[in-house]
Amino acid sequence: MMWLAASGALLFAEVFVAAVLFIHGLPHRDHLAMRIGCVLAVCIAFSAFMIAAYEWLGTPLDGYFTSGIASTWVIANCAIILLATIPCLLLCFRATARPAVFCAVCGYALQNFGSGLGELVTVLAGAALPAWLRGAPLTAGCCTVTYVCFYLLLIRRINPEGLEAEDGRALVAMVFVTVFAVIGFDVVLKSAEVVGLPLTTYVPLRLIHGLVCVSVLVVNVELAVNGRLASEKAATERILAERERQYAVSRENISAINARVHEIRHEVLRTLSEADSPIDRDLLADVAHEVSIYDSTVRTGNDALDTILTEKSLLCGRQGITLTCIADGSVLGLMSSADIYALFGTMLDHGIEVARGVDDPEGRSISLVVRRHAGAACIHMECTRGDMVDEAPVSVARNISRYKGTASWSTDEGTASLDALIPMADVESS
Amino acid sequence: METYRVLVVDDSDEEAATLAGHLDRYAADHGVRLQVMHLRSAVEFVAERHDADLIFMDIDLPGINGMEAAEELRTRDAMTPLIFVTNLAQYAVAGYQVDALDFMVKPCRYADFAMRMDRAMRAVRRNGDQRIAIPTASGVRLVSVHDIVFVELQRHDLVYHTADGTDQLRARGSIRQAVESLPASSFVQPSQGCLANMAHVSAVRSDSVEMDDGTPLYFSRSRRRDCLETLSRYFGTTI
Repeated sequence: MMWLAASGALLFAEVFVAAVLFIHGLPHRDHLAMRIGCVLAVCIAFSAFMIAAYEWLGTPLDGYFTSGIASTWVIANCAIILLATIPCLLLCFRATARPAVFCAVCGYALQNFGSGLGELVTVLAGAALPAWLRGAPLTAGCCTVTYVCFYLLLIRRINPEGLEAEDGRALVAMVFVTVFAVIGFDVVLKSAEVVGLPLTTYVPLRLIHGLVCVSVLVVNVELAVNGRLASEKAATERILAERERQYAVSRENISAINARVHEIRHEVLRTLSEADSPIDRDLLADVAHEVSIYDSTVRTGNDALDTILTEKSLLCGRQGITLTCIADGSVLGLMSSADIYALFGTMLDHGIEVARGVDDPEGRSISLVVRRHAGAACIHMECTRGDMVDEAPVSVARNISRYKGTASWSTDEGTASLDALIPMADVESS
Repeated sequence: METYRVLVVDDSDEEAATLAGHLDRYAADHGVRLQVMHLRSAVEFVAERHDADLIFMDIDLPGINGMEAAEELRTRDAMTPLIFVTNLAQYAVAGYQVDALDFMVKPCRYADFAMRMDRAMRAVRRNGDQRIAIPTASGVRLVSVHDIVFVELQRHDLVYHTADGTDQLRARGSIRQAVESLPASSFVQPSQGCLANMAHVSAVRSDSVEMDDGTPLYFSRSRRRDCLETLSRYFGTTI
């Protein structure tokens, strides 16, 4: 019974450590030591659960891998460990559900690869393996070697901050694949070994199990990369669509202006041909209004920023909100177009919503400044606000944190400000 | 009541009068005294030195335009806050080249003006001269806050590193005492044992700030985020 509790606790610890390897790039939460203590408490609680379950279910579990009930119970326990890893990761790290699920699934697959390696070594070494090394010590040793190798070859190249875009349905599917293909296959193999499967059959099957574990890892990483690419593609398509729209608007306005200018030319010629005729101020105002559309295009030196600022300035114009911007687009060169479009789109949408809360229509104003200072990209958005209590969108801080920066929202009487800073000195000096 | 000198450079008397009206209203609402001076061209502005705490500059001016005048201003004065007031929004987007604080679109409405003026006044007050008394072994030294680059704790002494690099003032005390005596809007604490003057930060890195004198001050893990947020608010003139 104690052996059961200890093995369950050890498995949980190994899976959690493997999952932390994937997620450690994200900032951890405050009071980490206390949170790790809570995770250990979960570990102990799980052990207690296993003991209680064993006492309740009784002797059918004695045949650990030889009975259907026992095997099913083992699979269920392992699935619980996989699922329990997710809230433990969320408890310790500043992450959302998707990265946590990704890291839990990858961590379990990695642990299983390591433990499978230990099983293979045990079977191949046979009697030559010292007694003290069999079981938990060998498993722990093989897991350690596995973790180090995979970290150096694969894990350190994965950016956990880029996992937000991974498809949620694909992640859920990977959880089921892990439970049945990784855990289930492993339990079946262990059962087959107990009943005496020949070595010539067991070894290839164990190798296939290892391949399944690696495949789960690779598929998960591919899904994350594809998710990010899909997000970038969607943002690029939005930029291209916006550019098409701007070109279309410009073309329409050129046609309209040409037609109007044609009329104005005739009007001017008619006026000039009449001696002592007064200057038609309305006519001049018409001309100024027709050409004003060309002033709406913002040029900062960054295409993505130009696109989103032009879109939002037109939107603000239609809603009677004054939007001014001083922007050095070159300081955002470190950011992807998708992130720039998403960041400033979300910021300005929020600013527009806040400014609309001002009762006086003439008092709605947004100021945006993007510039370089002290080797950092500095973004400041300020807007007038009414009485509404508001908070900055979470996605803004998340977007900025991908580039090791920070964002903060503050309010004062009548105004609200968002300030963001992205250090660039590290990149520029390397 | 402190008096601040505001310079308005605009060739339109009507626009300048509107701005002056907004400044008078702002002064009355906020209990400050603003002395407003009006110049009609950037040529006048460049030809004679006009000391001001805050400058409002039109861009479309006869002769030298406002952007060119601002470039000339920045060759001799990097500190005075500058706000463009213009119809030419396209040109104002590049205001960062002359370190412009902001710009306003004509005709300028009061609510719009007041928001930017609040920010400008924070920048103006930041430039004001504040002094602190540091009790050193050789006597009490009056030091301008501007001149303090950073403060570090060495055993039980506070060491004040000043801008000219030659002076290191040593006084008995704790970092908490230094925090209480120095303006919170100008200093940030990267770690338990030091305070940095944000005006003297020359580079911000992901793990440290580099000061004007080349000294790196590393963030402690627990203070990194708060420090970067404070720096972002300082650079954005929110504080």
